[in-house]
Amino acid sequence: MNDPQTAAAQVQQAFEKIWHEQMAGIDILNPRLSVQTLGFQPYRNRVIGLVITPWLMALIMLPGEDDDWTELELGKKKPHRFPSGTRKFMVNEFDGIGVCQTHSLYSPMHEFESQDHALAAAQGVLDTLMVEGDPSMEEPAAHEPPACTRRGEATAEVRLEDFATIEPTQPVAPTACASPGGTQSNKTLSRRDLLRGSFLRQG
Amino acid sequence: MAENEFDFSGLEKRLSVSRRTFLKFCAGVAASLGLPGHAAMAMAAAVADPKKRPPVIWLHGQECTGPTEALLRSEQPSLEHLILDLISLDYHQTLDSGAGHQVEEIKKKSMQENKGKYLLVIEGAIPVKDDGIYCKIAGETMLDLTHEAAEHAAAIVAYGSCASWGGVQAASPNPTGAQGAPQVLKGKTVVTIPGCPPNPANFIGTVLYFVTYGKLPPIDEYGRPKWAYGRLVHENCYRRPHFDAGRFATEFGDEGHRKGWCLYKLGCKGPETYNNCPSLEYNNVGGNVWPIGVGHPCFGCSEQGVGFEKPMFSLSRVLTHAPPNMFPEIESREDVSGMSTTAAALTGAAVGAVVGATAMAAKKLNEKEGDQD
Repeated sequence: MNDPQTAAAQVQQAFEKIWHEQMAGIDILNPRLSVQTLGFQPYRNRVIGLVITPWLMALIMLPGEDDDWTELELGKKKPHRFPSGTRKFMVNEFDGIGVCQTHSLYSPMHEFESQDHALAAAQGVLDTLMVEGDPSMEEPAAHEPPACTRRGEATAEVRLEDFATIEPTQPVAPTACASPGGTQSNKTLSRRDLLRGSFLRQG
Repeated sequence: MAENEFDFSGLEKRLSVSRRTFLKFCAGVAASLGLPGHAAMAMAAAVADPKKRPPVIWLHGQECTGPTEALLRSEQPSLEHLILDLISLDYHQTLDSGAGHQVEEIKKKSMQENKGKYLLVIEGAIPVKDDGIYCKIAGETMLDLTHEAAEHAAAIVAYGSCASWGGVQAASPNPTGAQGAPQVLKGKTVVTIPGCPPNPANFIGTVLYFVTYGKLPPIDEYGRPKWAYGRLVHENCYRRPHFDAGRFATEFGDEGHRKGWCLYKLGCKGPETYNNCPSLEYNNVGGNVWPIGVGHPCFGCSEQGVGFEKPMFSLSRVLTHAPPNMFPEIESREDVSGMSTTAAALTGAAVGAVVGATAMAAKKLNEKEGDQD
């Protein structure tokens, strides 16, 4: 599935079917919207595009020829790098499309007054997706650790090197924390150093 | 600040956690708050320095003590150790070892001595009907006690749905005129941590932020910290692929329910409830233990106008993508609510059992409602 136009048609057809069958009559649909695909393009041997439906707007990534996503757990999140920054995609599966990955932009869709309104928002996303972004503008949620990390069962997702770029100028109130650590606040601290508490021993 | 004040052996002893676990926890909290790496460092340092503990006055109004219970049962590092070590808990009716007028005196003394410096935590709703006589502590109404404590507080946190907007007490017909702290303390900034019970991680994150930076984190128009309540439960739900593709469970125990499909048609309020349950789950239990994780629709416990207001298994109706600022005030909804007193009471009872809710509970509630139609 490496031709973006074929992929777009396939996605369009699959969502039309879901809309008229499984989604028929449910309250959460925005009746002013219909299914529309746009911006389908090749990206790193895969195809990426955007789909608007009455219940969601999402970026959708289809597997390339070398990808085997069939073993991936449904609902798991995978980070993907774009020039504008990292976005987390969720492993998804649709009848007529198969396993793919989606990045939810809006759901439910009730804030949109018309198809054109939704289209304008979609175009805005597509216009900025491939533009080199300011790393400090990256959404912090891209780094949100899963529950297992909070329980201390995993550390892989806690990469402090990444966090250091989110708010590099965040002031540390001197009254609240006049620690030796405060003087190093502009320096990237390695996770290893943090876990060893080295910042507390210096100074 | 002397070097030896950061002696980790003392910290390890005080918190009963290893240095590694503690710092990892700080890193996790900082990451959840969307803060950079040095925030974790600053938090660790702030906690390691016990002299900066802010005094805390903790009031209980109309409630079940669920938020405190939830806080005490969280683990790794033992959050109750952390919170008790982090703050100077000068008054807390559930945890104080003293009792009676002596404790009340200590509270008044602490509030006097720490004027403008203490953190006020309010747990439970505040009844205002008939001058607040429906909830009294040591002969004074919760209404008066709240105003008194709020006057010189450095910051006010409403912990739990009851304190945030009235919770189950404010459900129609609201016989005691129960309100949340933000409604009672008009004109003051009140940070709300709603939930029934609220996730202690959202409380501890907020307190850690306060202790570290000396100010409260950014909040939305409902006073909720944006880092915790910025997204719909639906947005990050692990069942989202099934919603996207239109795969719904339609009955408890049916094929879709057993396969873990989307619970929208069973009444899930995820599309109108702002909370971080999908990423934090609940109280470090692990194993995907939170309502949706165990197969029960989201009840909307943390969303004003949803939890205790909309029938538990009715379909979520979403009027706008940003429902919180569109909902009418609870008070003006009392008479239009489709929820009967019995249903409200049943729902209240069901919330406590929400994790263990079964098809039977659903069936019973439906029967009850059916009877009244």
